[in-house]
Amino acid sequence: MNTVLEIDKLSKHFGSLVAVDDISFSVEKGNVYGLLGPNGSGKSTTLGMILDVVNPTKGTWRWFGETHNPDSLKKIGAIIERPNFYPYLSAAKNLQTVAVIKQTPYSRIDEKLELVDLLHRKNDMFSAFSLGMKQRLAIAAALLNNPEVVILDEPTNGLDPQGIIKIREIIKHIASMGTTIILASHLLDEVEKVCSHVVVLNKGKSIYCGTVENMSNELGYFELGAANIDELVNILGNMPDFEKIVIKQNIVSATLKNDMDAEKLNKILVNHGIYLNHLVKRKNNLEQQFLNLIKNETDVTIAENRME
Amino acid sequence: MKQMLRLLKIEWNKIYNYKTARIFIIIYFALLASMGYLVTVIKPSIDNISIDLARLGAYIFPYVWNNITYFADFASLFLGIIIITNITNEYSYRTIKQNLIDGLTKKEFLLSKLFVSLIFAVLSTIIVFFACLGLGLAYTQNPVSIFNGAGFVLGYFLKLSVFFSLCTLLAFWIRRSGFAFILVILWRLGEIIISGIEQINSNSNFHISNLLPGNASANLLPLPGLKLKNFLTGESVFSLNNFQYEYCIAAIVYIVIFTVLSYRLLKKRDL
Repeated sequence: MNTVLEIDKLSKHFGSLVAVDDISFSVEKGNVYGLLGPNGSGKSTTLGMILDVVNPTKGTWRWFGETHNPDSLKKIGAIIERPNFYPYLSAAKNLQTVAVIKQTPYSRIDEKLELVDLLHRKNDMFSAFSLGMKQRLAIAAALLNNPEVVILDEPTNGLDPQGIIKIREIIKHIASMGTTIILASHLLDEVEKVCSHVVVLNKGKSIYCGTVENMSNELGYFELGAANIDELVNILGNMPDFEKIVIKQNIVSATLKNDMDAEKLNKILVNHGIYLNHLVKRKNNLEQQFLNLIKNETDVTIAENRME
Repeated sequence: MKQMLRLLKIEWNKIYNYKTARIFIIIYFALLASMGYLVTVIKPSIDNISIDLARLGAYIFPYVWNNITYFADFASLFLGIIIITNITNEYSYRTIKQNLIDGLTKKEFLLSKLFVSLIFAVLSTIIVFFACLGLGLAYTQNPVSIFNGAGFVLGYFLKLSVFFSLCTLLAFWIRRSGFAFILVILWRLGEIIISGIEQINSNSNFHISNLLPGNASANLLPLPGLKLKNFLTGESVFSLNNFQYEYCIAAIVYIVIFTVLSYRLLKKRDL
């Protein structure tokens, strides 16, 4: 049984607002999942439901293949939106409270504080911490029970670049131990940097679910440069493999219709007497793919509305 | 039992390390514990005539049970404030959400708060019981039945419990300590006004407004009665109120209702 989480047709309505609309996806053990979407797309509400703090309108979910029970949350570590602790308690005392709730021995507290580089501040009050330290303490709390799954909701939100790097290092470290991670973020490059799988949400709907690589089924494009640009464009235009050819500042950008590797293209062009001084095969980065997905979704919606 | 200890451990961490709450609790219990002694040295004076409550027979059996419990009940406001802020803080720090995410169920969360109230009520009752017993034994000269009138200690316990469960409900409902506390006071005033209106407009001896939660618990612990003519004969000026067991049932019903409503609020509301 390697499915950690299965979500089945989950919906949440706040009055007339549909915050989460019929979302289904599953999370496999050992992967790092990104839950990606613009602000207000339903990421936090979805996480709130599977963590039992938001009541679902419809739908079900299963943790670890079991029907829902209160103990499943004790195998999970989660931080939501921002670090929530008792400001008048020290870091260690705050973690003690978490340890009692999770029924985990106190002996792990120092170990986890060490992991997030806060051991030297263990007796300082939470209210005296910087945002980055608060966020790291939250991660330590989430890891306290050596969870099988860690859920992180916007863990780098509002942090300075140093803080962001530190948090990402910790996330990578957790992932390297084989822990399944669900990372909600509106930052594409964050998801691209740490996630293997991604679920894209837009306006409460899940519009893509799969690996980061397959997020777009596009084949990529070539960037080409040659002494004789016009001749190059001419030849490319006569080939059936390209759907779009654009010239930008002496560089020809040719979008593929059929898959082709750079070596083969180079060979064909040499046979036509064109010698390239620039040849790169690229794929759109996640940001562009994401915007494309959301744009497509919006286009479909507009089209549907017109049909009505 | 193990479960209860776990929940109390969580609450102990939260409350004891909160400076304001700790100071309030220490002052409250110190005052309550020393009350048995303090009431004998405090001699209020009216028109320059010092009133020695001991000589008026305030501390002899059976009157001591009613007098001391009635007096001690005023201090419960202290604990009400602590109970309210202990819950509303969880909302303002958003730790209630984190507690639930960490694996505490909503039921356990409510239970942990109720256990604290229960411990406050039980400790107060034990202290007050021994204060009454001590004073009674020290001041009563005529041989009388010691535990006649001791029902007021049960009344004291139930009155505290109704008050604490009302505070819990309002704290969960309002989620802001100031507003919750104002509502506690308005609630009490509202009941007094309602029963005043009923008493003016009704001729019967039975008033339905007596069954409202605040009035019912006030009737568990009535104002000590006075028989001033006894002053001349040198007997105790106090007269014994009947302890009205029917209000115990009303009190228990309210404790259950407030607790169930708190749970439903917690269960239904998104965090």
